[in-house]
Amino acid sequence: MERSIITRAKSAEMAVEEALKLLAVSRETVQIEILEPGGRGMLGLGGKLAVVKVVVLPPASAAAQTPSPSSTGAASEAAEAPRSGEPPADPGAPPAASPGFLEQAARPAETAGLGRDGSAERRESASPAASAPVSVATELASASGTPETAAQEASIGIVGGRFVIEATGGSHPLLTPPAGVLMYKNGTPIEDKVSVAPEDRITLETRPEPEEPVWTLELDDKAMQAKLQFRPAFARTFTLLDSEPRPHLVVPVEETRTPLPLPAEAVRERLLELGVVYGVRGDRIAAACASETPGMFVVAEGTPAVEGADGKFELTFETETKRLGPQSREDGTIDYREIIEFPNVTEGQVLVRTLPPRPGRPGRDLLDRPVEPRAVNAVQLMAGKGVSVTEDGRRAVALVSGMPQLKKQGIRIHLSILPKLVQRGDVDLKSGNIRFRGDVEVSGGIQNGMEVEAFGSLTVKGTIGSAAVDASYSLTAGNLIGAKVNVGKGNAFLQEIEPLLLEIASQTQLLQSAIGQLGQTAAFKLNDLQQAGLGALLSVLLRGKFKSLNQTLTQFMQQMDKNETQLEDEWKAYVAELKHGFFDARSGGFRGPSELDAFRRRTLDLYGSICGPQDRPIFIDLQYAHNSHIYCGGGVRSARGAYNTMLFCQGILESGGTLRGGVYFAGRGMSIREVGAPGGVATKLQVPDTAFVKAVRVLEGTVVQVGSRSFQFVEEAQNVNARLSPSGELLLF
Amino acid sequence: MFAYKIQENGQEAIVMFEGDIDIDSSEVVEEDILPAVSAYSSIRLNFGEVYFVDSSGIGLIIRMVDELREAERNVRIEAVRPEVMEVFELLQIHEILGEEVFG
Repeated sequence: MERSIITRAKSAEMAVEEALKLLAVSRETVQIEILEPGGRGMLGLGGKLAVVKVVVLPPASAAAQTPSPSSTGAASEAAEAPRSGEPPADPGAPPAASPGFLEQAARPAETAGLGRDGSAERRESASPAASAPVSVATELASASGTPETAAQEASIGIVGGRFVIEATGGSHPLLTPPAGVLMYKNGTPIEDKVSVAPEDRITLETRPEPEEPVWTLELDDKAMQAKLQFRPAFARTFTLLDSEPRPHLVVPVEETRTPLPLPAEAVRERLLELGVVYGVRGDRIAAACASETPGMFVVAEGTPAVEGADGKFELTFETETKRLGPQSREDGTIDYREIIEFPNVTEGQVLVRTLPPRPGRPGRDLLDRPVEPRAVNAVQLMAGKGVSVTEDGRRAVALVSGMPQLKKQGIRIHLSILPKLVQRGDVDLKSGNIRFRGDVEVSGGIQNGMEVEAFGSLTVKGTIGSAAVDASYSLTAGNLIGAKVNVGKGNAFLQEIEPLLLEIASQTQLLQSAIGQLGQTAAFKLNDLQQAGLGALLSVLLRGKFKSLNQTLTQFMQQMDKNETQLEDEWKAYVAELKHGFFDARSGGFRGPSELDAFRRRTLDLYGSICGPQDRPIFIDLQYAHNSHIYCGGGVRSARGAYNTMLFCQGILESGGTLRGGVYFAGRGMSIREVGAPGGVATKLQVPDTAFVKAVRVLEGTVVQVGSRSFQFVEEAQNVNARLSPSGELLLF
Repeated sequence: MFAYKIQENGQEAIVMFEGDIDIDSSEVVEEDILPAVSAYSSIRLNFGEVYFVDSSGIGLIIRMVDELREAERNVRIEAVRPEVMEVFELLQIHEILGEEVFG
C-alpha cells in the first residue's frame, strides 16, 4: 500500500513542495505525477491550479529507484511534458509522466502487498495539527496470513482493525457503513451498502470530528450575576471493532468522545468586554469550562446590598375592644351589662415608643458600581387630639385620660385620645342634652325628650326613654322605651367630605402630571410659573380639563363653610391653603409643583385621619327595646328581645327573647329565639338574599323575607332556618 | 418679544400677533389692543407668528376672548401653529372657549 497525496498549487513545483511538506518526506523517496499542469487562464485571467500526486515509495522500491532523476528535475520535466510533447488525446487522462512513475502507479496492489505500513489517505484539507491518522487498509487475502478464512464463500471480516475480504468467482461480500460514520472505498465515500472485492481499499475516517462548543455569557438586568450558558464540545473518533467474517458486514465501530474544554481565557475576556470587573469567580469559571455536561454556570456574582429595616413602634396599651361573655355575679345572678371592656389610657401615659430604623449596607455590582439598599423610613408619630409627641419624635404621651385611637398609614402613626365624659345620674332637664366629642358614660338613664350625641361610644346603665340617642361607635344600654337610636352612622359631615377629599387628592395628582406634561411641550414657557406661581395656569386648568376638580373643590368649601363652627384648626388651615392655592389668582396660588404636591399629601393625611381602618367595632348591646326606632351600622344584640320596634342593622341581629311586633332588618342575618305574637300583631323579619333567618320558634302570622322572597307562617313552627336556594327559592327548614 | 398689527377690513379687524404671548404681553393686550378692536363687530386673532405661550399668556387669551364676546363681538382665533396648538389641546382651550372660536 502506498502513502500518497494529491495537492494543488499555482504551479506544479509549488504543489510538489506542499505535498512533501505534508507527507514529511524528502523528494528522493517519492514518485511524482502531474495530474494537471496548471497555467494561465484565458487572456491571463483565472489561472488554473496545478495538481500533482505524490506517492511515497516503499523503502525497497525507493532504493531500487536510485538513482532517480532529481525530483526537481522530474517535476519540471513533468511540467514541461504536456507542452513539449503532443497534447493528450483524452483530456481526462493523466498527463504523461516518466515511465518509472507510471509503472509504480500501475501496481498499487503489489506495493501494498510489500509494504505493511499501509497507506495513509490524507486529504489536502487535513490539518497538520490533527491527530495522526491511523492507517487502515484492506489486505490481499494472500498476504493476510489467515488462510482459514479462504473458504468457498465470499465474506468480509475485521481482524486487528483491518478488513479481510474474501471473494469467490460468483459472489462478493457486502459492506454497510455504520450510521454517522464516514467510510471510503478506494478513496470514495461510501454512501450505502456496497459490494467489495479483495483488492478494494476500505478505509474509515479516523480524523476526530470536532464539534464547536456553544456558549454565551450574559449579565442580568441588575448586573449582579454573569451567567455562562455552555454546551461543551466533543471530538468524536471512531475505531473499528473486530468482527467474524460474514457475507454482509455492518461495520462495527467504537465511538470515543473526548471533551474539548472551553478555554477559561475566552470567558474572562468576554467578561472584561462586558465590563465585569467585580465578583469574578475563577473557581466557577474553571469548573464551568471543564464541565462535560451542558448547563448554566454563574461565573461572576456581585455583592447584594444588605437591606436595612424600617423603624418600628411598640404600643403600651391594648388596642382591641374586648367583648367578654356575660359575667356571673357573686350572688349567682348573671350580669348582662358588663360585657364590654374598652381600652383606656391615663393622663401622662406614654402611648407609643418608636425604634429607629436600621439602615442597610450597600453592595457592589459586577461593573463595580455601588448597589444601594432600599431607603429605610423612621416611624412618624402624628399627634391628634389629646396626644403630644416628644421633641425627638420618639414617643407619644397622652395629655388626657380616655380611649386611645390609633390609625396607621404606612410609616405614619396617627394617635388621638377620645376623652370620656361621665354623667352621674340621669340625663334630664337638669343635666341638659349632651353632645360630646368622645365617649360618654351615663350612670343613670336618659329621660323623655332629651338628646345625647357621643362621638365615641355611649354607655347608658339605665333606661333610655323617648330620647334621641346618637353614638359614633357603640351603644351599651339597658331598656329602650320609645327611643330613637342611631349608632355607627358616623358624623354626617365627615361622611359627606370623605369622598370629596379622596377625589381632590386623586384629581390633584392628575393635575400634577398634566402640568408636568405641559412642561414637556416645545411652545410652553415655564418662567412665569417660577415668577408668579401656578395660579394663572391652575385657573385655566380648572376651567378646562379639570372642571370636575373645580366642582369638587367648590362643593368641599361649601361643606366646610356650613360646618365651620365644629371644625378643628387642622381643617381650617387646610381650607385656607386650598383657597389660596387654587382660587387666589392675584397672589399667584401655589408657588410650584412641590407646593401642589404637599397639598395633595396633606389631603391624603386628612382623608386618612377621618377614614382610616375602623379601629373600633360598631354595635348595640341592650336588654330590651320597646316601641323604638333603632339604626345600627354593625350588629345588634338584645338580651330579652323587642316589642313593636323598627330595627335596621348592617350586621347580625341576635335576640335572646321574643321579637313581638315590628319590622326587623339585619344585613348579615339574624338569630332569634322566638318571633311573633299569639294575638297576631304583625311581625316581619327581613334579610338580604345572601343572608339567613334562624329562629327557634316562629309564631303564626309572622312574615319572613329573604331577598325578594317572603313567606307568612300560618301556624307555629319550630327551628326555622330560612335562606334562599341557589336557584332563588325560599327554603324554610 | 411681542408685537402686533391691526388690519382693518370693513367691520372686521384682524389682529396679527407676533412673538410670545406671555406674562409680559398682558399690558399691551389689555391697554392697547382691546380698546383698539372693540369698535369692530368681528375680530380675528391671527396667531401665525406666535411661537411660545406661557400660563399667563393663555389666561390672557381667554380673558381677551371672554371680554370681547361679552361685548357681543364675534371672535375667531386662527392660524395657530401646531406646537402652540399642542399646548392649547393639553389645556383644553377649545372646551373653555368653544369650538366656534377656532372655526
